[in-house]
Amino acid sequence: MPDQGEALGVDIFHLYKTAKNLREVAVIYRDSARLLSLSESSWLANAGESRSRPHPVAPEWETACAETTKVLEDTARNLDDTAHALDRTADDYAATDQAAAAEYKRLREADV
Amino acid sequence: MSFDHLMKHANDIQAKAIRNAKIDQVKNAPPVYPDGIEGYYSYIPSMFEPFSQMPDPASYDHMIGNMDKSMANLCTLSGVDPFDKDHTCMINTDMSLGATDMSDWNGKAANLFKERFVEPFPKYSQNQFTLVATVKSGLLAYQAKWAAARRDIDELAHSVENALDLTGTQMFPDKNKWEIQFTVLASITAVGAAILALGTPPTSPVGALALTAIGAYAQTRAVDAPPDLPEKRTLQGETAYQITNEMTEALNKINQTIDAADEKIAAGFARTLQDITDSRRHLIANRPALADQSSTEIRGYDGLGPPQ
Repeated sequence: MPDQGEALGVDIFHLYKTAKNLREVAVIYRDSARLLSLSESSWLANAGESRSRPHPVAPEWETACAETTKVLEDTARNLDDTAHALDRTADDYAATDQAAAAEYKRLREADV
Repeated sequence: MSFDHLMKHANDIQAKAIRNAKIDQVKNAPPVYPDGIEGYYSYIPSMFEPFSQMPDPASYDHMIGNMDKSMANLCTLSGVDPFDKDHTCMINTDMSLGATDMSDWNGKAANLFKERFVEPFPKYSQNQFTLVATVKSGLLAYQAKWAAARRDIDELAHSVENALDLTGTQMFPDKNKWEIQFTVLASITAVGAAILALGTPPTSPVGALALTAIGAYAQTRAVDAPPDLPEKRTLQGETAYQITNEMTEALNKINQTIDAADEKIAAGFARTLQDITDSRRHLIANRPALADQSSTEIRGYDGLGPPQ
């Protein structure tokens, strides 16, 4: 028999906690991706400093940097999208069960 | 290191070459200068000028620092930077899915999420740490290349000036030989680091999983193959003409080593790109099905399942 009432409230609170954890880790991933992008754009600018002797940009390195940034950004997006789905589901369940909603709200307010 | 004074060296070399050439002329040493001695040796500063514009290796420090910060975020199992022995990270305890609690939810997508995303998460993150380290190694290689190129050009300039000083003071100079080194290619090397096997079955790869790149020889902790040894060359000459001819050939050689290093780095990262493609399922978990399920689907047995 699926949980209802307060027990359901606890279950959807766990969804909320999971979503919160996923979002926090997504922030770290986006920061890592940003730092990589900063390095790539700085390097391209630096590579052009040699006016007399054109310094060739290595497209292979640039692509490797871009691919790596994408791995980090995709991970961040997967974390955020999964978090959103869990949050939405928690809200959907709370909308159908008043006792669950009350317990969910109480637990969220205590989780500060 | 007097690289910052390279153009002064170039101008001094020009002046001394002119001085010596006039003395050589008195001794009837070849060549004849149809356009005059000053006109002939006017090319010298312009040969050195492009080298004076080479990037400052220190200008890569900020970019390398950003890569280090990115790696620090991703460090979940080991902080050892495989390609930089001066760099170690602390384990990032914030990089954890330890607060996830999906024990109440046992639908198909929920179980796959727990098994294939949450449980192996530290290993994916550690592999991403290694991936960023691989990209960073390219910056270390460029930095080492420019440092070596500056060293080589500075050594050449000094040695040519010394040779002109030595022979210019002697009416009948002895055989004059001196040795220089070309160190650019020896400054970079192939690097490789193992990554953890992960992903959906079959997970056992054929052979070891590794990411490869080109890094700085002096920085890397362990090399797969030693780099090219510094190439030594003996230069010789007693007249201004002979010495500056040797100088020109050596300058061209330094140019060639810089181009060859660029090609080596590019080829190395072409392999890196292939490694990233081949290893992708070990570098990033599949997107959880939960992320794309509808409100109805996610509450069913194919999603989170009934709350228990």
